[in-house]
Amino acid sequence: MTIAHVHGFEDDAPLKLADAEHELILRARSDPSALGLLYERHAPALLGYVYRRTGDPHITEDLVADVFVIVLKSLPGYRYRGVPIRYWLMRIATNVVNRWAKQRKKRPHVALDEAHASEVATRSTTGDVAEGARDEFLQRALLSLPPRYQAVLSLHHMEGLSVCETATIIGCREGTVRSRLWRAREALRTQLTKRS
Amino acid sequence: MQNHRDPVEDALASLGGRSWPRDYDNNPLKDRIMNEAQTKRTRSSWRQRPVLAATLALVLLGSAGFAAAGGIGMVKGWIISVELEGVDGTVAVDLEKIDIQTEGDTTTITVDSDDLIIEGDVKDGAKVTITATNDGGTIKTITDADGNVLKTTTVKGGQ
Repeated sequence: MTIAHVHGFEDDAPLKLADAEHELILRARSDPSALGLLYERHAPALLGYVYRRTGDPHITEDLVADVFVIVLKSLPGYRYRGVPIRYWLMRIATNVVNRWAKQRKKRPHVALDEAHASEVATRSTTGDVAEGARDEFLQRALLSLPPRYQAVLSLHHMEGLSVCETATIIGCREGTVRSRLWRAREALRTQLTKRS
Repeated sequence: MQNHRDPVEDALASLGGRSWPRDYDNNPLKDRIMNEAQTKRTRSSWRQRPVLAATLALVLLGSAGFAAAGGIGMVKGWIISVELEGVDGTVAVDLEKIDIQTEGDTTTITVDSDDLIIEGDVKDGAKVTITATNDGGTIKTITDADGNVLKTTTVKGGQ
């Protein structure tokens, strides 16, 4: 259980940012323009993160919309904990994508095709078929992993977050992240070997 | 000399190198979210989300338990214990939202005003045991992966 870890997050710069953004969160409870500002500040990072996990822009927009719906739902009960808003949003996004990934695995035939058809089609028109096919291959391999493995690989390796930051977002100890990263990398290696 | 590159490193670098392919200033998406905010002012959105049956059970039983123990005013710091497939954890909740993630399974505990709301997302075939305890007593609910309540036990405080 990781709540103590979240409480213990200490870094002066992020805390100052969190203080300022906490005010924004408070305003967003009643002021739509504050919510709009929150979106403008954080949507680019969320869109990038979710897109790199799903590989599909349509699904990404749906899931990011879900993230902000949860944010809306959580605003009344939100309490400042000294954790940057960015991490709070990334945690919600991680849970939303994990849930999507889990549901997607239950209907792989439909999801696989729909998830990548538009992207591949777009790339085909630009002549970059080989790159599109490789990206699709890699995306399938990533999405074949358990969602918790996808999450640590994405946050640490693809988003460039430290193990500490990843642990804060996922809500577990750093040691858990490290061991999960190792297992995730081996699982991805197995998938890449099996699929190539 | 041959250059041996790690295929996993290459894959992660390639996947991580992709940028959001659309305009970040995505007004339709922003409008959609702002509309949702507007809509939320007039209705509760909880019906749109997959919520475990445990939610309703806990809210109802919790309210009854607190009323019996002296009223809603007694609700201060919950102690929540969540067990998913043999992995468990405990956290104190003091009228605020806390997410718990246990080995990839997510359980969100939200304390909104005087009500306790628990949403869960568990593995296929998994069973989740949620125990909520405060001064007013203990509520124990066991659900299956579909959120069906298998067993609920309520013990009032002092018993």
